[in-house]
Amino acid sequence: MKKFVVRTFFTFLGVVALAVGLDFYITGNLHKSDARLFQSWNDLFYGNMKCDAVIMGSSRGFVQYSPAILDSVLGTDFYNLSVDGRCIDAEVAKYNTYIHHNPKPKLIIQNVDYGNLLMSNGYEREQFTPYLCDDVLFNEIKDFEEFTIWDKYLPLVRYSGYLEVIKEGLRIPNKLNQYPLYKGYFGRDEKWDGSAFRNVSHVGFSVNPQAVEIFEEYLASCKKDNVQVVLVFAPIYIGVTEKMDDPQQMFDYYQKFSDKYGCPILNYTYDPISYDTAYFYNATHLNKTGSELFTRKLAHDIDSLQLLKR
Amino acid sequence: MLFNSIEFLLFLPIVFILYWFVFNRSLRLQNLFVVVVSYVFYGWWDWRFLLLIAFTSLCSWGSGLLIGKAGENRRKAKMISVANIVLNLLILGIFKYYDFFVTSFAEMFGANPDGLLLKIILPVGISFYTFQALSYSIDVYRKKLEPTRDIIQFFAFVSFFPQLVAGPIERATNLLPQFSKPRSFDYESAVDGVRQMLWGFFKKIVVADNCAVFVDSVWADYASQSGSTLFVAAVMFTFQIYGDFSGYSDIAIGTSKLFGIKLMRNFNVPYFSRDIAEFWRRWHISLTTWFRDYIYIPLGGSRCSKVKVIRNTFVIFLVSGFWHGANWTFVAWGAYHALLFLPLILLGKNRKHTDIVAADRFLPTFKEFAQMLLTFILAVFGWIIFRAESISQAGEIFAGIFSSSLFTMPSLPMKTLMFIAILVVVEWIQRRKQHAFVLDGVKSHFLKYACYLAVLAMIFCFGVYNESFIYFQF
Repeated sequence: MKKFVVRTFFTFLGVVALAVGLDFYITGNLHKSDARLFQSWNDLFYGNMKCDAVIMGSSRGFVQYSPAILDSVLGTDFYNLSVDGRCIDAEVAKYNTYIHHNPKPKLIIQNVDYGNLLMSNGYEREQFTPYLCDDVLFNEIKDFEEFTIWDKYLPLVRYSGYLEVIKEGLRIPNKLNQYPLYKGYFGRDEKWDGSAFRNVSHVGFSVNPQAVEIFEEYLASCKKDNVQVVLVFAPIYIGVTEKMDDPQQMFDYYQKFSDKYGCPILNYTYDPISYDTAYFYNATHLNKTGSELFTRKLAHDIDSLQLLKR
Repeated sequence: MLFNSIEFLLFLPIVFILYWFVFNRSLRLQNLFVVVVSYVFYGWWDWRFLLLIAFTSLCSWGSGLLIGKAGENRRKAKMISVANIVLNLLILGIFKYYDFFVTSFAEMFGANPDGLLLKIILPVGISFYTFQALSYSIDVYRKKLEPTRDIIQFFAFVSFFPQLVAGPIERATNLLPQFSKPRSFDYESAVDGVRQMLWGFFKKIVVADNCAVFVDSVWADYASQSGSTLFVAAVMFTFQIYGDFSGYSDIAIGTSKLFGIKLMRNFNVPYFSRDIAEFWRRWHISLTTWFRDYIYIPLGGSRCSKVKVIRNTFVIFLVSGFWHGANWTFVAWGAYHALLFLPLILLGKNRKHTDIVAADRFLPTFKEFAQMLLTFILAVFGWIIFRAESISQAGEIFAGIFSSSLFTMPSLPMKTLMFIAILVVVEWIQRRKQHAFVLDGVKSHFLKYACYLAVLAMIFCFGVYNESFIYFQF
C-alpha cells in the first residue's frame, strides 16, 4: 500500500510539475501570439490602448467596421473589439474586461442585428483560454457553459483537446489563422458566395431574455459612465431582409433601447450597398470592399451627428 | 458524475484514501462508506433518483430474506421471487418503456397519446442496477447463494459506484461475497487497475469522442452524404460505441481494482471475432451471460429441438435489443443479430470459435482475416440500425450506402482514423491479455513511464471533452 501511494504521489507530482511548466510556457507564448484568435485580446491586455472609441459586435462587427477608415475620417483612435461568432454576452464580457485594463472610450459603435440579443454557443472557446487567470475576464465568462472553475485553477486543463492552440503555444507550425488584423478588424477580400443564402427560406428575429438583460445592464452602465453608444444596423443583403417576417418589428425593438438610454440609431439596412452582391462575401457579411465603403459612410454620419464631440 | 470529468479526478483519490486509511478498521464501516460515496457519485447527476435505487435495493434484499425464510416451501419462494421480478420490471417499465408503449399503441389506432404520456426522465443506469438486483433474488431462489442479512453489504453490492451506471452487470455470486470479507490491498492489481483506467480513458476520450464528432456531423445531414461517406460514418460509429462502452468498462474495472474488488470482464476484443456467435461471446459479456443464465437456459437453451433453440435465440436477442431502449430500432437490431445467428445454429457451428483468433501466431491466416472482416462488416450494418432514430431513417441510410455514390471518394477524418489504427494495433498485439494495457512483459521502468506519458499526451492533445457515455441512456 505504502509503495503504491508513494509511487502514485510522486508520479502525480511529476505530472503536475510538467503540467504547470507547460501551462506557463504555452500561456506565455500565446500572450505574444499573432494568431487571429489572440491578437485583439493581447492588445486589450498588454497593448496600453487609449482609444477614443470602440466597435462592438459579433462576426458582423468583426468583418464590417474598419478602424483605419474611421480614424482617418474622424481623426480619432478606434479599435474593433468584436467577438467573431458570438453574441452580446461575449461582447459585453470583452468590453468589461477592456475597460478594466484600459481607459473608458468616449464612443461605442454597437452593431445590432437579428441575432445579436442571444446567448453565445461556445464558438472559438479557445480565444479566451490564455487569459482565464485574469479575474475580471473569468468573472465575466464563468457562467458560459463551456467553462468550469477547473479551467482557471488546474494547469493545462483549459488547453485540453485544442491541439492547434497547444502547437501555437509551443511555437510549432500550426493551422491557426495568422492573418494580421488591423486594430481588431478582419477585412475579408472574398467574392459573393450565394450557396448558403439559397438554402435559407426564412430569417427570424429572436431575443433571449438573459441576453436582453445583459444588453440593458451594459447600456445603463455606459450611460452612467458618460460613454456615448450608437446602435448601428449595418448593411445586410436585401434578400435576407426580404426573408424576415417583419423587419420593422426588429427596428422598433431596438428603438426602445435607443429612447431609454439615449443611443442614436443609424440604420443601413436599406442602404444601396445592401442591394449589390459585389459588396458581400455572403448574405450577412460585407466583404472588404463593402465594409470599407460602409465604414466611410458611417464615419461621415458619425461626424455629421457630432457624436464624438458631445 | 462522469468518469471523464475533473470532479471524478478529485473524487477518486479522496475516496481511495478514506477507504483504505480511515474506514478500513471495520468491514461494516468500509461497506457503509462504499454506499455513501456511491450515492454521492450517482446523486451528482440527480439526487432524486437515489430513492429509486434505494427502493430497488430494499425490495431485492427483502425478497432474498423472505425466500430464505420460506426454506423448502418452493412455491412460496417462487411467489416471492416472481413478485420481486415483477416489481422491479414494473419500475423499469414505467420509467423506460411506458411512454414508448403508449405512443406505439396510440399510433396504431391513429390516436393522440399526449394526454397519457408521463414524460419522465430516464434514470441513468436503471437497466443496469435493476438487472444486477434481480440476479440476486433469482440466485437466492435457485439456491446458488445464501441470502444476506447485512443490508449495508447488499446496498454496497447494488450501488458500487464504478459499475453502478453502465456495468459490468455483476452477478451477486461474484460481487456480493467480496463485500462480505475484508479486502486487502494488492499492489500489482492496483497498478494494473490504473493502467486499465488509462486505456479506458484513451478509448473513450480520444477514440470514441473523436469518432462522435464525425458521426454526428454525417448523421445530422445524412440525406446529402455520399454512400461512401455514410459507410465510413457507420464504421466510425462501430468504433465509437466500442470505445465508449468498453472504455467505460475498463475504467470501472480498473477503479474497482483500486478498492480490492474484482469485476467481471465485459469486452474481449469483439471486433476480432470470426463469426457473429463469437462476437456475442466477446461483446457486453455481462449482459449476454445474464440473458443466457436467466432467460435462455430456463427456456431450454440449446438442449432442445432445433425449432426451440431458434425460438430461444430470437427471444434473447429481441429482449436484449429491447433492453437497450424504448425504440423499434433496438428491437430490429436484436432481430438482425438473431437472423445472423440462425445459419450458425442450423449448421451447429455456433460454438466453433471459442478461443482467441491466431492464438499461437502473431498474424491471422487469410481465411481468419476474411472471417473477421465479414463479421466486422455485419456488425457495422447492425450498428446502423442501432444508431438510427427510426427504422425508416435506417432504411434511408442503407439506401444511401448502397447507391452509386458508394464508389466515390468519401470524407475521411484522417486524425480519427489514426486513433482507430492505434486502438486496433494495440488490441491486436494484446488480444490474449486481460486488457490492452497490461505491461507485465515490459521490464524497463523508463519504457513503462514512456507508455503512460504517451497515452496521457494523446488524451490531453487530442481528447474531446464533455461527452457523456452512450450507454448511460440504457
